[in-house]
Amino acid sequence: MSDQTLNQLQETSLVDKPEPTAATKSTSSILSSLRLPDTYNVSGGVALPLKATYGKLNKHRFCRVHPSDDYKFRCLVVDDKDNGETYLAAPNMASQLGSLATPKTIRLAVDNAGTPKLIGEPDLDPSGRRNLWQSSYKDAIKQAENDWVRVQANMAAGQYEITPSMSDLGFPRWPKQSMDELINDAFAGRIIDSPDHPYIRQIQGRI
Amino acid sequence: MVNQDFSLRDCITLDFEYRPLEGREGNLPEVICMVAHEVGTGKYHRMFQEELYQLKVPPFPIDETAIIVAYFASAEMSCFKALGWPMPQNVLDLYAEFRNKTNGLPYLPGGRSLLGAMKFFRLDSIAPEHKEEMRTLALRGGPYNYHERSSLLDYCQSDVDALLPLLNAMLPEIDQPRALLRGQYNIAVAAMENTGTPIDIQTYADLCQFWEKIKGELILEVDAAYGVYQDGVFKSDMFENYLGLANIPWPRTITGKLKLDEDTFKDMSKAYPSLLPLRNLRDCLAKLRLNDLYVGSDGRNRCLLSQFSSITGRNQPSTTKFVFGLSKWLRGLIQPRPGMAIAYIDWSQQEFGIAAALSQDKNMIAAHLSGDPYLAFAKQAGAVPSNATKHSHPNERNQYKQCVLATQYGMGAESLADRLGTPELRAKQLLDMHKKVYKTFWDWSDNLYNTTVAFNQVATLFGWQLNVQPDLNPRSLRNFPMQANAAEMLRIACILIHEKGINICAPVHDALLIEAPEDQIDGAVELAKACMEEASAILLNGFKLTSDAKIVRSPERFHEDSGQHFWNRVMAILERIKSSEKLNAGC
Repeated sequence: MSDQTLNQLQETSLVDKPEPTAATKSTSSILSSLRLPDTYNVSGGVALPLKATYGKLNKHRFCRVHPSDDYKFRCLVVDDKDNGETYLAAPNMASQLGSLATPKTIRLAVDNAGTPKLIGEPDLDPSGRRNLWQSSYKDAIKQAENDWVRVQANMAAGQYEITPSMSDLGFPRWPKQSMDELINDAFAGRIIDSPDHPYIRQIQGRI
Repeated sequence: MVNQDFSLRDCITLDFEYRPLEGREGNLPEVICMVAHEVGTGKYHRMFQEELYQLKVPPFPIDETAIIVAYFASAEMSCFKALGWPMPQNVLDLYAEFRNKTNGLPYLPGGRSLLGAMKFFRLDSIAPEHKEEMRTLALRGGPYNYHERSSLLDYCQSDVDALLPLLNAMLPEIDQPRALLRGQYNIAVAAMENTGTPIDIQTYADLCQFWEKIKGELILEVDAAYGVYQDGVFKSDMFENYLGLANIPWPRTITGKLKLDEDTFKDMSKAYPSLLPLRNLRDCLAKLRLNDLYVGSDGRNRCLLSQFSSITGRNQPSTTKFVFGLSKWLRGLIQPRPGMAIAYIDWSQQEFGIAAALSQDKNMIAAHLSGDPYLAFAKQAGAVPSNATKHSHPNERNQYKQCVLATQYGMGAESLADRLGTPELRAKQLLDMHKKVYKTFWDWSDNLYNTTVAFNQVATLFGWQLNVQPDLNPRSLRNFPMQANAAEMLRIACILIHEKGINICAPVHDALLIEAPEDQIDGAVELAKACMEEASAILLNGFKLTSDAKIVRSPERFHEDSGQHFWNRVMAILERIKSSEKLNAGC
């Protein structure tokens, strides 16, 4: 930039009022009427509720267990560890399955991210033998009815370790489905209700 | 402004030819000629500059019965201003409407210009070569001979004649009352472009003159703390050594190289403030083109504000011609004239407030109303006690603040972790907490997303729309209502503030820089803040957003906190260079 230009500085009028408009009607008086209806809340589709899966409480997340009897379901559970499958068995299949079927109470749990899960609460050993894995798991479930807890296996101690949350994680977001619906979704295609079920045929050596 | 539908018969199509005074960019416009066509009567007005400057009012009606139609109407309004004419009551800007109709479309056959719009609607238009030739003639300046004058008028009329078929093609789809609101904004834009931002022209001239020398000194001075430049060139292996010594984990590309882009430096310098001088240095070495800044001979930065250019409808002025587009430290160039003051007025937590008002999330509204939504969020999440303050829990507040900002910017856990300097898991936890505390907002956002992708369209509360393409980033889409309604709010505020007679120097993203004599600045700020609050209430159905103002009185400079240190450093180097030049000249 040359000095000559610098010397030619012109000040524009900075304090002038804006030019008068041809008409005096106030813009602000009609602006509000131009606002469109808020359509952001028009329903664009509602996500279907998450389906529950069956398994153990998530060892990384704090969980709650639904305390209501409506969300307790007594049944036989079969763990096919070879194939990584868990089956639900009808009571009349007990004689076919023998000790492979374990009586459990299916409970509804939810973690603090709102993910539902079905867990199996074991019955105490009818023989009265002390099983720390079972009793500590039952303790965890009992506590999770009222508090957020994280449950993790402690192999050295032979039991589950229960860690209550230090913060209030708020109310659990229970799924809206009934227990029947949750179980049907979680065990779809994995219910043993006939002696001809492939799993029974397999353990009996039938082809 | 009329609040009803209008017909073609009410329209006056209009175009001016003009150039910056003395042909210097940054100066006010000098009107060369004008053609206007009253569609209802068929009457044409073809006038050259000496005739136009004699008129105190336009030779056609501009009252509430008439609609002035132009393409990029802020230019025409600038000419009105240059001629001292009163502003029209109604303006329809076909550029704004064309942008609105095509916003988000991936390809326009002829771009966004008038010719592009004509092409889009398959209308005949003049050859681009002829247009270029005539623009060059207009920019050359007078005196014009008879042949040149009639060529310029004929060319000007060809644009005016193009407007009528374009208007005909567009009118059925134009949302008329809101189109006139967008048109009205052009008047405020013309006023802002006319006012411009006061620049310390002597310092600017010195910086331009000595920039090459300053750069060399800057590298030496700044790099002393890092040791990453060799012969004036940034070396990534040396930077890697520095990072190792400073124990700073740095993001890498998928091939394992250090990420060295601008955004990464920006994020990392927030997490590690010791890197800020290096970031500023890289920034100004890479993209600073000081000579491109438009500064008029009166020392004011004036350039096109490019209204409606961004996808959200925001202004998008050039990053090299507009002083606020340059690196933040260069805002030190902004200095009010003696006896004057400027004020930077910014809505408080604007996006957060818009999100709260639109989603009606009670927690979010409560956080916004608390005056410190970041601390309120930390309290709502149970991370700090209810009596915590920003002084008692600065670190927690900062984490929750960055989380709020991350959700506004559509940032993921990885970027948030970089910005916070924490493991990604911590960033995930914070983002999860946002979703939990503001569940109503997230449900609203999910619903909005589903609606938008179902209809492939989303619009603001004043009708700025977006055609949603399949490749649009979902986070940008979710953020559109906040960003684009913020742009609407700014437009309304500009219209209201301009009507009150306050001089606006420039819009700065979602803030405004105003100017007034020193003894009137406090009153002007209060008035402008009231207008901004009113704009928010109009947009958000009564929900009011307050604003903060920073006043700068002559001879103070406008400094951004993060840029002042670097500005001081450059000024010290400049003084040294100037002294040594004087000594050399003396020898």
